[in-house]
Amino acid sequence: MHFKIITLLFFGLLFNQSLLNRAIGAEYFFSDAKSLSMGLTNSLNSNSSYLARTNPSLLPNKSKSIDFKGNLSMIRERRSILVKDYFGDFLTYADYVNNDNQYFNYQFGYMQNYTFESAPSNKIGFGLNFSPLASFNYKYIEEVRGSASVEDGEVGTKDPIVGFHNFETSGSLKNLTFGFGYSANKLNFGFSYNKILNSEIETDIHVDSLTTEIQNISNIQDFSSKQKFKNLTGFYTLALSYNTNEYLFSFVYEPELKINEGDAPDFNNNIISYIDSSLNTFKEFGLNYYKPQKLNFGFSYNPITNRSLTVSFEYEKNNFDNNATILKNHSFYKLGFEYILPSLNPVRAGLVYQTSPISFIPDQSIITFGSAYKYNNFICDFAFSYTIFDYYYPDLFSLDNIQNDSYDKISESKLNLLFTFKYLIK
Amino acid sequence: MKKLFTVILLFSIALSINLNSLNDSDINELSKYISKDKSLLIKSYITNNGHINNIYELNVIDGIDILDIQIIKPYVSVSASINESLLDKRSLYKLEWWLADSDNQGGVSENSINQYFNPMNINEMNYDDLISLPNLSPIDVKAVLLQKKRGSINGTFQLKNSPGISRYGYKNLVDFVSFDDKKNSNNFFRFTTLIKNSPLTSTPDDDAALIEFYDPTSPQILSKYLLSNKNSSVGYIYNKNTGEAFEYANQKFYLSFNNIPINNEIKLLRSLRIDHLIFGNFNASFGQGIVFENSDSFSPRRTGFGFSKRLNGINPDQSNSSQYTLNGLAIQLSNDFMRFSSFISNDKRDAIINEDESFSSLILMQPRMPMGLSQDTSKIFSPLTDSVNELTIGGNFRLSPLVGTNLGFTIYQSLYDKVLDPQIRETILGGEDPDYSGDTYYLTYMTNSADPEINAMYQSSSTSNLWSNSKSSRGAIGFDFTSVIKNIAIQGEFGTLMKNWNYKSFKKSPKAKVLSSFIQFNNFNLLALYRNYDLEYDNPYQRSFSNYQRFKTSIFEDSYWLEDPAYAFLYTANPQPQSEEGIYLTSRYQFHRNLTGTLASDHWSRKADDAKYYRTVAQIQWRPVFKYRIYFRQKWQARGSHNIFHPSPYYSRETRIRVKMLLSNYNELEFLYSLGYTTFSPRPRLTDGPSGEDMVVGDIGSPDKTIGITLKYNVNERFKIRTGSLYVKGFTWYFADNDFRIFDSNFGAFHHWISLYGLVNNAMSFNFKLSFTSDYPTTNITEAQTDQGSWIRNPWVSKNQFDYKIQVDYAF
Repeated sequence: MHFKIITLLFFGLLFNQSLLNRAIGAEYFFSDAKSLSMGLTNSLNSNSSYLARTNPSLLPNKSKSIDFKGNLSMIRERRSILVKDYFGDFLTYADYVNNDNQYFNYQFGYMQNYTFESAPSNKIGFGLNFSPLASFNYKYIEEVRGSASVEDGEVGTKDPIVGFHNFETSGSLKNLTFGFGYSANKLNFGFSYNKILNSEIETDIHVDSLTTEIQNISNIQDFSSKQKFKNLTGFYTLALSYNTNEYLFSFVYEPELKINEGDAPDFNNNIISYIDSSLNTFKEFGLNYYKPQKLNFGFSYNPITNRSLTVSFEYEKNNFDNNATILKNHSFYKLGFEYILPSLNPVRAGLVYQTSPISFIPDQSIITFGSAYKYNNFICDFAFSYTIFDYYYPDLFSLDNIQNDSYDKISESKLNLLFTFKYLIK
Repeated sequence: MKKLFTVILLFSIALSINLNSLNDSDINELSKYISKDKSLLIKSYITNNGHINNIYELNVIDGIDILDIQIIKPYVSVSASINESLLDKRSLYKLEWWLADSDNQGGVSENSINQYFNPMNINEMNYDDLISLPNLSPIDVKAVLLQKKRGSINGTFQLKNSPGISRYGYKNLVDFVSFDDKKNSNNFFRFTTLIKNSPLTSTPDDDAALIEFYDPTSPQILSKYLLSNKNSSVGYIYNKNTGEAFEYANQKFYLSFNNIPINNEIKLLRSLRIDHLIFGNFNASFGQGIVFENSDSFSPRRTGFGFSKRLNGINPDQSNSSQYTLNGLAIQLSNDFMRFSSFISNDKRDAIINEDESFSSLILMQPRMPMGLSQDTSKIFSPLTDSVNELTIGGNFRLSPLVGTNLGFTIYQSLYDKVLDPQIRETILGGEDPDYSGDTYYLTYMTNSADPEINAMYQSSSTSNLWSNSKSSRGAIGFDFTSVIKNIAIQGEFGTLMKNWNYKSFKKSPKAKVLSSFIQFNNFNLLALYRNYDLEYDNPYQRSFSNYQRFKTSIFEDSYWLEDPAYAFLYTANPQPQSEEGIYLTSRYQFHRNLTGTLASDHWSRKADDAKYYRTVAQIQWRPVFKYRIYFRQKWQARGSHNIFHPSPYYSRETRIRVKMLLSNYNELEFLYSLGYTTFSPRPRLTDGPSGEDMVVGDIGSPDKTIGITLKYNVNERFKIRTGSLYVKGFTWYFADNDFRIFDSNFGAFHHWISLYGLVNNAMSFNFKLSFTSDYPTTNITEAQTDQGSWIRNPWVSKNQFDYKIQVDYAF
C-alpha cells in the first residue's frame, strides 16, 4: 500500500484538532485575556479592541485605549496504538509519537468612545483591531527505528534509528476589523466588518532516511509548496445589548463564511484523502476555511450588594448551511466569574463545554483561569486555558507492507497562555 | 509613688493578653486592635514555632510588621506557659517532619530533634554545632560567631543583630538555641519506637523499586533510647528492616562525653574543648563528603545547604544505618582556631564473596539476606552478611585562621581481611537462563551504557603493618576549605584515592572535587556548584553532591541478569554518587511577600558513557490571600538527544500543582494535581501487537497523572487526624503525612491513608498510620495459568496492599 494521508472534514471549529489544520484551518478562539479567563465569555467580558469583533454594541461603554495581545499555544499530540506489553503480558495503549509544538500569535488594536454633551445618555464608540482568524500550523515528527542483527556479546543496538517521518504546514488567516457601536441609555447597538487579509500557506512532507536500507519507513515522495491567496472576502457582525446597574444581556450574530481557493477535499465523505489515485503522491489543497453561522446569547450579573463579584453565562449556537453528511450543528455553554480581592487583584475562572461538532469527536470541556495587574493607566491581564481530548484516526505514515486498518488513538492537549497589555489614554 | 506604679504595672500585666497562651476570647480581644486574620496568624505562629520570649519576635511572621507590633504592644504580655512540656512541641510541623525522617538522612534529623528538645546555649556553640542546623548558611554561622566575639548573646535581640545574619537564617536558628545553660544542664531522655511495613523507597526513581524484597508480614522495627545531659550522652539503637529476619537486625550503642573544656595555657590551644569522646558507634563526616562520610543513605543533589545538611565532624551515631557503621573509639577536640578529629573503627561489612574467598564488592542490603533471595549456594558461595571485617582509621585536621574561614585535611584508610577483587562475570552476573546470561551482555548492551562504572571498581591486594589480618586496603586523602566573604560563601573539597599510599602515583590517582559558591541576600540567594568525579574514584565513603547513585543505567539495574536478585542492591541501595561532571545552579527569590520563586538547574555529563543530562525545576509559591496557597512546580529533564548519536535518550516533564486552604481551628485542606510525561526512543523489538505479532513502531512512553486530596483536622490540641486520598495512573511521588512514597500503576490505582496523632500526656505521644493501595482490577490479560496449572482466559487481575506505621515517642 502506497503512502496515504487521510483526513476528516472538520470545519474551523473552536477546539479543532491540530492534525487537520492544513485541510480546513483552526479558528482562533482568543478574544482577550479577561474574557478567556472567564470561560471565553467574549461577548460579555472583552475589555480590548477585540470587542469590535465579538460585541461591537459595547464599544461606547469602553474607555479610549490601545492594546496588544500575545498568545502562546502549547499543543501536545500523542499517537497511541494498542499493543501487548512485552514484559507484563497485558494489552495496553502505547504512545509511538509525541509532538510538542509551540505557536506564538499577536493581536493589537485601538478603541475610543464619545459622549454627546447635549445628550449624555447617548454615546458612540468605535474600534479597530488586527487579529488572527484561523491557523494552518501543524508539525509532525516520528522517529523511526529499524532492526539490526547484533550477536550477543557484540556492542551495538538491535533497534538502530533509521530515519524520521516529517509533515509540517504553516500559515494563517488574518483579520482586520472595524466596529462601531451606539448606546442610547441602556440599549446598545453595534456593527462591525471583518476583512480577511492576504494569506500564505506553506506545506512540506518528507522522509529523512539515515540508511540505504528502507526499513519501517514510508516511501512517500517528498513534497513542498508555498501558496499565496489574495483578495479574500470578509464578513460582518451584528450585536445588540441591554445593560442595567446589575445586569447585562447581549445578542450577537455572525453569518456563515466559506472560503474555497484552489483544490478542496471531498467534503461529502467521512474520510477525505489527501492523495491522488497513484497513492504515493501528496495532493495539494488550496485554501479551505468554513466558519459556521453564530448566534450568541449572553447574560452577566454584577450584584449591587457585592460589586466584587461578576458572574457571566453565554450560549452560542453554531449552524452549518451545507449538505456535508459528517457535520453536526453544535453549541457552546460558557460560564465564568470574576472576584476582586481586597488587594484589587481579580481572580477569574471559567468553564466551557462544547457539544460534539462531528460524529467521532467527543464533547469537549475547557477550563480557564487568570488574573490582572494594574499600574496607573497600564493594565496587564493574563489567562490560561487547558483542554484535552482523544479521537481515533488512521496512521499518518502507513507502510507499503503493513495492512493495518485499525485506527490509532490520538490524544491532544492544548495549554494556552494569553497576555493583554492595555494602556488607557486619558 | 513607686509602690503605686508597681501595683499599676502588675495590674496591667495581669489584665493584658498573654501571647503565649492565646484562647478564643483573647483572639477576639486582640482583633480589636489588629485584624482577626493577623491575630490568628500570631496564634498559628506560636503554635507552630513555640513560645516567644519577646514581642519583637513576631516581626518574623509573614503578614505582621512593626506597625502591628507597636499597635498591640500596650495590650499584650509575653509570659511562659505554666504547662510547657517537651512533647507539647510535637504539634510543631517542623518537628513532625524531622520525626518522620528520623530513620533516615544519616542522623541529621536526629541531631535537629535533640537540639530542639534540648537546646544548646548559643554562647557555647562552635562552627560545627551551628552549620549542622537546617537552613543556616555559612554566612549566617559567621554572623553568629562574630556576634559572640562582641560579647555574650543574651537574647533574641542580640542574636537578630548578628552582623550579616539573614532573616531566614535567624528564623531557623531560634528553634534550636537557648541563651543560658538552664535548659540543657538537665538530664534529658528520649525514647522513640517505630513499627511500619510500608515499602522502602531508597531512591526516588521508579526503576529502583525492587518489589521482590517487599514482605509486609515482617515490618520494620526501629527503637532508639537516648539519654543525655550537658556533658555526656548514651544511646542504644535497634533497627530491623522490613522483610528482614530478626537475627540480622542491626544494634548500635554509644557512650559519648561532650563539650568538656580543657584548660590550657598555650595560646593556640586556649579554650580547647573535647567536642566528643565516643566509645561505640559514631559517625564521621568531613568537608563536602568527597573523602569521608559514613551514612547509608543516598540523597540526590545534596548541596550541604538548606535541608540537605551534613553533620560535620565526629558525632554519636543515632541513625539507623547498618552497613557503613563505625564502631570503636573517636575523639574530636576544637577551639576557635582549630579542630582535630580522629577515629579507629573495627566493624563487619556485608559483601559479595567470590569463590576463591576474595570479595567483589561491599553491598548494602535492605533487608539483609545472608544467602540472597534465591538462597542458591551454587551461586552465592558464602554468606553475604558480616562477611568482611573492616578496620578503618581516619581523621581530619582543620584550621580556622579567620572567623568563617576553615582549611581542612582529611585522611582515612580501610583495611579488609579479604582480598578485594571484583569478579563481575564470575560472581555477580548471570541469571536464571544460561542462554540469556548477563555475562554475555555485560559491557556490550547499549542501554546499559554505564557498565564502565562497574569495570572501574576498585581492586586491592595488600598487607598492612597496622593489622595482621589485612589482605587488602583502600584509602583516600583530601583537602577542603570554606571561606565567607561578606555575603558570599565559597566552599570546596578535593580528594584522591591512594593506592597503597604510593605518593609517586599521585598524579594518576583517581580524583574527585567539588567547588561551590553561595551568595545570600534577605530575599534572594544563589548557589553555584561544580563537581567532577573520576570514573575510578570508587570510594565507598563518598557522599558528595550528585544526581544519581553509582551504577545507575548499568547491568546492576537488571536483576534478571544477576546471579541473585539481591545483587541489584549494588545499585538500588548504593549511597555512593555516580561519576559525573557538571554545574548545578539554584536560586530562591521572594518577589513579594505573597510570591516566592525558586529555580534549580543542573547540567552534567556522566563519566561512564559521556551521556549529557540536564534537569531544571522551577517552583512558585503564591499566596493570593493569607488562607489560600498555591504551589506550582515544573520540571524538565533530559538525557542525550533524540538522534542517531545517542542510544538511550529520554525527555521528561512534570507539572505539579498544590492548592492549600487554611480552615478554621488550623485545619488544612489540600488538593494535588500532577501531570508527568517521559518519552524515550521507540524500540519496536520490545513491542508486540495485540495478537503477539511483530510491530514496526515502538513504545515511547506514557503520561503519568495524579490527583489527590489531603485533610488535616485537629479534633483538639491533643488529638489530630490527617487523611488523604490519591488517584495515580503511571508514576508519581508523594508525601503522605511526611512519609515519602512512590507509586507506579499502569491502569490506575487509589491510595488512601489516615494518620492519628495523640498526645497521651505531657511526655508521651503516639502516631498511628494506616495506608491502603488498590490497583484497578483489569481483564486485559488474554490467558493465565492457575496455581494448579490449568489455563484460564481473560482473567481479572487485582492488587491490594495494606501497610501501617506505629510510632511512639517519649521524652522528659
